[in-house]
Amino acid sequence: MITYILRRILIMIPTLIGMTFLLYALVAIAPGGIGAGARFNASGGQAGNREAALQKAALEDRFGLDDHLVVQYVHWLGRVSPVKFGWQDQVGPGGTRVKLPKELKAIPAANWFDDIEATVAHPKAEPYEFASDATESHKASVFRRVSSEFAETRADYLVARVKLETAISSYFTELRDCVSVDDEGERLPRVKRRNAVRETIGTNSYLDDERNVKKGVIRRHEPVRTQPAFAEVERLARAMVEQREKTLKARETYESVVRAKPFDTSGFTLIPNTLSVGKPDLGSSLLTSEPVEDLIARALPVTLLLNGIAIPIIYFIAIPAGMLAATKQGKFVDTGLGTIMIGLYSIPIVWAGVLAIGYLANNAYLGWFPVNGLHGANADAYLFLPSFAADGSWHRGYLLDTLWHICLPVLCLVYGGFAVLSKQTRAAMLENFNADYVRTARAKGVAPRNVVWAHVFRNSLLPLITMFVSIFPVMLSGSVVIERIFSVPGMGSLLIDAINQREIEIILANALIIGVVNIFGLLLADILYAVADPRISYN
Amino acid sequence: MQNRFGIKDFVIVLLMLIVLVMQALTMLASDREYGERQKTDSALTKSNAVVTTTMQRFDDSVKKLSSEIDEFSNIVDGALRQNNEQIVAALTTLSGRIDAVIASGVRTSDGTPSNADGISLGDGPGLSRANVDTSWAREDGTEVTISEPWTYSSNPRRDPGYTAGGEFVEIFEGQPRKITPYRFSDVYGRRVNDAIIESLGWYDPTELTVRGRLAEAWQYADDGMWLRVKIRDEAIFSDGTPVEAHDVAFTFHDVIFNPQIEADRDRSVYYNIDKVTPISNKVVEFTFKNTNSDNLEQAMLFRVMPEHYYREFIDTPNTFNNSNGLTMGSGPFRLANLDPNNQWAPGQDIRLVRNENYWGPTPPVDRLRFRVISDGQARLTAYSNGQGDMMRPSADQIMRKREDQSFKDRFDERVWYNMRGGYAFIAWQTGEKPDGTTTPFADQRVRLAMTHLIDRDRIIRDISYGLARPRTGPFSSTSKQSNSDIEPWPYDMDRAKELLAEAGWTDTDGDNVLENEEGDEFEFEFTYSNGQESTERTVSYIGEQCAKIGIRMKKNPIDWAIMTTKLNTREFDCITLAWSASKPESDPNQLWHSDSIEGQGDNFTQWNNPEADRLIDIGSQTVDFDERMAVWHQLHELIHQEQPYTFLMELPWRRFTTKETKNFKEYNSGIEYHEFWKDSSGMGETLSP
Repeated sequence: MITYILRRILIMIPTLIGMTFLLYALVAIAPGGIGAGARFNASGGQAGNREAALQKAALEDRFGLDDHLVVQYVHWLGRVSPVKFGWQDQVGPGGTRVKLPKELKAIPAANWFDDIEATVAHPKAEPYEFASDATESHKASVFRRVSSEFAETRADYLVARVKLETAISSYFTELRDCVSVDDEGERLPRVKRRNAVRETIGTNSYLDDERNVKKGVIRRHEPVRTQPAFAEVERLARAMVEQREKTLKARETYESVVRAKPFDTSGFTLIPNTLSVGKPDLGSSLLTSEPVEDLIARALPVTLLLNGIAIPIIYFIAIPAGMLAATKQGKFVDTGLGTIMIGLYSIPIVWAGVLAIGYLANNAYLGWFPVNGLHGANADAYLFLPSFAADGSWHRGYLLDTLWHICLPVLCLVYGGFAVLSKQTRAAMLENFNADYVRTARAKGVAPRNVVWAHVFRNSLLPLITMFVSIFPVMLSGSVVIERIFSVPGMGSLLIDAINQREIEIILANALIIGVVNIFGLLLADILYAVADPRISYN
Repeated sequence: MQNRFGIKDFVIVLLMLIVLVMQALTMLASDREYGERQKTDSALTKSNAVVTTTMQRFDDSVKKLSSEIDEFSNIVDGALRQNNEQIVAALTTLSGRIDAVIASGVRTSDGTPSNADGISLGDGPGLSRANVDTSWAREDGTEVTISEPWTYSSNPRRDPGYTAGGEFVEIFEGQPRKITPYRFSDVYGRRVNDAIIESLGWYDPTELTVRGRLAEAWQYADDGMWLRVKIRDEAIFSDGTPVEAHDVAFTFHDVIFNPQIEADRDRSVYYNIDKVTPISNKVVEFTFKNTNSDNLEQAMLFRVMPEHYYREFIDTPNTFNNSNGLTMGSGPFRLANLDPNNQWAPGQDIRLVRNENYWGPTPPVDRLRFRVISDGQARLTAYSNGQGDMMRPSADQIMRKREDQSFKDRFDERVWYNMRGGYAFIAWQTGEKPDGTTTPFADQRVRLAMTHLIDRDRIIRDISYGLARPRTGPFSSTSKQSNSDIEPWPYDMDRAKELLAEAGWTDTDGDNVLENEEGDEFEFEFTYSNGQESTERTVSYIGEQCAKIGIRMKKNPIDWAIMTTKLNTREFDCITLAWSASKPESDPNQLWHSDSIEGQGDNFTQWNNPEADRLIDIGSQTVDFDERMAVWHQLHELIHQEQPYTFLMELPWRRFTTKETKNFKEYNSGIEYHEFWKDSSGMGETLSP
């Protein structure tokens, strides 16, 4: 049994990696790509577009979105893995993770100038050490100084890079326009034009979808140094060398300070700076920089509350109904219950939700329930339990207020769930009713009640266990439609929003959590099988 | 078994019966309705006759009355003339005295034209211009602009039955992600911030010129390279600390342009400010990178954050970057919950309370509450249940509620045009697409023909329910930037045909499709974002119009997420979208300058017009307001002639407000949250479930 469980847990790792990688690839190839929403947001509306390229570059630099997709994925894996290799992160002020600085991106088109790499000085900073009696606040202030200096130079380096890239782009455009005309200055016909461009620039399109100059084109291209726009490219490339030196210097200083460990390390060290165990870092939202943990911590209780009430209701109604239907097979109760439940199952939630709001919540009709949200306007001021105030008036309290608010969402969650479960129960029961041992039991005069409960029901539990564990992922995922209609900020809206904005970190974190819960759920189911049925054994 | 009447048969028969009964009932109902209508019709004819005779009688009495008024006004005129002479004499002596004081100090000019006759508004501290100390100014003769004190544009206290207090609830249709200043990214965050954090200046609600708010006066260099601002002595933050020059410098250098703070968007807005230097406690100086027409706006309009409150969060940048509701300032309202460890988070209502320390005109309502209901149906239901005082309805919700008398008794519908309203347009691809091909729209005549071909009035009337108006150019008609002499192009099929023929598009082979000389048929793809019914209908209508004149149009609905890629790559023939604005004077460089074609600029139609470039370059360098407006008017005319866009319509703001909301003015600047008040006397209690 133990080996079986261990094996299952080990298999879990490749399963999760495969699943998240697939998801990662899907988001990456979806229109807009990773972080589409954040990119769009960074470029701003009508007012903010002038410096759009720079803002986008800053965003990509911050989250490493300009790395190769596979590299990004590996980085993500490294972060979520509870087992960490290499340098251990530290916990900075305000819970920030202090990491070693990232490598600087190379100068684009450096290969066009033979001497550029040679001229960049690579300064090496002295290892930094804090005095043994240095206070926490002193360490923090040293760290703050070097980190803000590094951030500033890095931002300038980014500006230099964006400027250079723009210059390269206009150099290519100029080149394209040059070769697309014949000697008399007339535009060449389309096919000839395309061929001329391909011959000179190396490929027909030198810009990618985001209108950045493709890296491969820069690598292969032999620059036409006589082109007027080239002078600007050269000037900016040399300016970037200068900035690179400054930035490298600041980076070295920063790194030496981080290596001097101004803060406590996070996690549990196994081999210092090589292997440690720590909490998975789920990353943060690209749009708001909020840690994904916080977002989930906010949305999950809402979803758990709704589902925690809805699912027991479904079970307490559907299973007895299924049993009843099975015992009265073919009778009016059976058909009636079946018809009603399938009928409910067929009502679209969107429609039911709108009807519920339109009639049950609208004051012009019944107006029994509130329209939206989880709490009333003044819920913060309520006591938890219902109470009578000093003047004898009755207050419903936080608990009742919440229950009152979730009535309609729970109603919408519940009504469609009866059919499947009750039909499943009915089928499982019927199978056993027709079994020989039941007939034997009946023949020897066991009371019908005992036949149903002691014989049939217990033997019908197996398929119900499968159903039961499949609840867990459902509990976590939430319902997009219901959350939207009733303005309930749960997991469903978090996820759908993340998908629309291509917020990769939130999507992956959700998938990871649901995946882990699902796999453990299935494992639990297998163990429960063995417990419920002695015939099953995993040895 | 087969021949028996089973339960299934019973159910089916029952269902059929129900359908039949309902059919009968419907017929009965419509019959009765018809009868009712007959009755009302005859009643109407009768009452019409009565009305006509009454009108006749009314006319007579009006005539009598007007002759009496004439007589009376003659008497009054005489008395007034006598009075006037006395007032003029007093004024002359007064202005003489003012002149003397001014001559002794620095040159001054009139501030922004706020309230007509220059009489100071009742609630301000009644500053007379001559009393303003200008010793802080640079002594190089640069003009000092002294602003009228920041007051109500419409004083609620003058309303009959005015009462202060109560809670005003606005329902948002989208969830703000953050309300922390410089970290919020949506219009909802901005509205909350507008009520809490003030800037040095603000737009005058009607004139839309920049006027002092925290600033008492300023001195703006003639070449537009520096600006010195005097902050009001009485201005304080909501915790009582005075607003000082170092707060302004802090906001700019330590927040907006701090590379560790993720204020990317705002960095691109305030890109032209080079440095902010405190001169003294209350005087701050801005220096700019270039002469630019909107330098004054950039400097005056960023929100001033209190350094003493924000310092600790900025020092640990992640705390600030990750925060949702760290919002504090000097505005008329403040957050009810200022606890940084228990901030507002999305999903909760945003609760604001009146800033009791507010240095300016006190807002009448005690509390503001913003709540989010994202589903349209739920929003309207909650609103009509009395859960909100203001909401933004969709166009069809307005149309539906116009027929609902009980709704109209309780709520007002407000539709108005202001500087933040946007416009819908069709952008024609005038340049080369990525595959090297061009579209027929590269020809100005074809673009103009397309505009003539589309009956914009009809689109406004039939698709937008009349809740829009024609637009002639890229500038808001509420702004002085717009050239009001320009008339929209009329709907004219014949003219369109003529223009297309001039451009070489005629039907030569008689197949009802236009061809050019090379025999290519006129065919294009219309790209639009899917999911909106009104867009779908507009595109279909344009398709029909095109078919009538002999143009083949293919629809190409795409996801919003792909839209930016399409725009960036310029891979479209024509596209329909809408722009919205956030300030009265928009920067045409972004949309119309040929520089914005390269890279990812927003000139996605690739309209390359040297004359437009010249005008934009001149305009953005012109500091003088009137001169600049003259340039923009020329540009407006040029764009009108060239039609790189077909301007479909100008979009208004739509709001429902409760009847209890008083002194709610539809300003050119939008909504002023510190002016309206809630009448708690009438109408009964608002329900608060």
